[in-house]
Amino acid sequence: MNRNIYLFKSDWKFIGRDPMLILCLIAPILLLLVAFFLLPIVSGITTRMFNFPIESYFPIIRLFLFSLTPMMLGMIYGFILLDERDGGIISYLAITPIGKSGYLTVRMLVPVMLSFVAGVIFLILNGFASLLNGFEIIALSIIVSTEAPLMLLFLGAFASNKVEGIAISKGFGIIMLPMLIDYFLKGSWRWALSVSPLWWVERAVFGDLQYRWLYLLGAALVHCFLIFVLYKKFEKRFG
Amino acid sequence: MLFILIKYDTMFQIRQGFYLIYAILTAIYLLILFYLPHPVRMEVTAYLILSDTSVMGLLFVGALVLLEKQQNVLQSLFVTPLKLDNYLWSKSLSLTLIALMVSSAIGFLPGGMLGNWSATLIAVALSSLFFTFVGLGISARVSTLNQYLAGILLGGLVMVAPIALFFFTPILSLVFPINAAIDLLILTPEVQTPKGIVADTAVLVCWNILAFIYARSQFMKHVICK
Repeated sequence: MNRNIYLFKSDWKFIGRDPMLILCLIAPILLLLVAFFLLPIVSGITTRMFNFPIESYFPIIRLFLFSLTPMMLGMIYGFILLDERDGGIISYLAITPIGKSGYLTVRMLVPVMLSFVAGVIFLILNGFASLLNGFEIIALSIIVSTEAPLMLLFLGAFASNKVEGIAISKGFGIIMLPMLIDYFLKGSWRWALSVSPLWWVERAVFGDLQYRWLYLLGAALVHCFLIFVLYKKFEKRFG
Repeated sequence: MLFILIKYDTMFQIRQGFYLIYAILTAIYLLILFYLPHPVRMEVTAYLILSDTSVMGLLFVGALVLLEKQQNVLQSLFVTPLKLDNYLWSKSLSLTLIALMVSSAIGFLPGGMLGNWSATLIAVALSSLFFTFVGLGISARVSTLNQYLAGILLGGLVMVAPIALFFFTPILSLVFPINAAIDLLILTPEVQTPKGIVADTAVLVCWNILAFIYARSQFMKHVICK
């Protein structure tokens, strides 16, 4: 583990040099500001111009923004991984004491930790404390923060280079669609969308209260299953 | 020479999954648009075209150039008789082709943009070329994908900011590319005049010339004369 601390340290030096990584630290704050300040302003404009207030959609929009942070961080760390793989750096690290698994652990842990902290703050400041208790907020933040390694492993497993990585990242928005469809539409056919990890998250927050922990468990299981499958795929392809 | 370059760039983009990903996205966009009531289709289509298809070149071109840089393709390429201008046009035109295909599908099949199809095609083609030239300029000076994404994020904010001017000085705001593109896309055929279309097109052409000069100078400075 001590060896991995060196990689952590070099990551922080890297952050200082790379403007995107500075932005990725600012991004959760920007998303928080959008959810907290911009949404009421936009609602004022839509009410004034179209007589269409969007206050009733604030919770789902805020949940959408909440799940964006880990996805963004996962993508950014995924792009670092692709850059380093294209440049052959991972092969060099593989023969150092850190090894390939140590490298991948650090690449996955950093965005998870950042997402978790950002997630808890986001939920509390955006009024989710009235919908969820403390344990549920922490559980939800842990589960959603695992979106980051999901994105990173997806890029690592399916993209042969950064060009394919960019193409794949365009499709990440699709993962968020089931969450919105489930919120706005009705019918039991929506269970077909349960393959999406964020569908469970949306159900846990807005679904039947008595099943909340079951939905949270479902969300955790789907995330773990997908991470396992993607990790195996990543190892098989580039191990 | 240019046509051969465009052909190979397009083939590379197909192999890297650009067309597949946009086929899937187009199908999803079509599902959403067909589901929406007719009166709001035009606004939603215009939003999708502006936020995604018109600017897709900006996102993709950076990855293409950075991969070529990392694989030392550019160094080899520019010692051949290939002209830099042809290289820049090939990248921009090949990506604009995808933008035009996707925009035509989502704009014309559900019927949202059928009323002003010519203005839509002009807006998409010229905005896509503009954003791709800007992307080419930024990609010439950076070395990692994240540096590039940070660059286009900041550049994107600067380019999108003039939208706010529309609420204060609507006519004057049209000198900015994003506003001219919006004007071409969202005005209904009853309101749009040939003079307005020509003025917006002229604005976008001028910005394209500037963006091309920027891309050219960045490549000369950071890639060819490095």
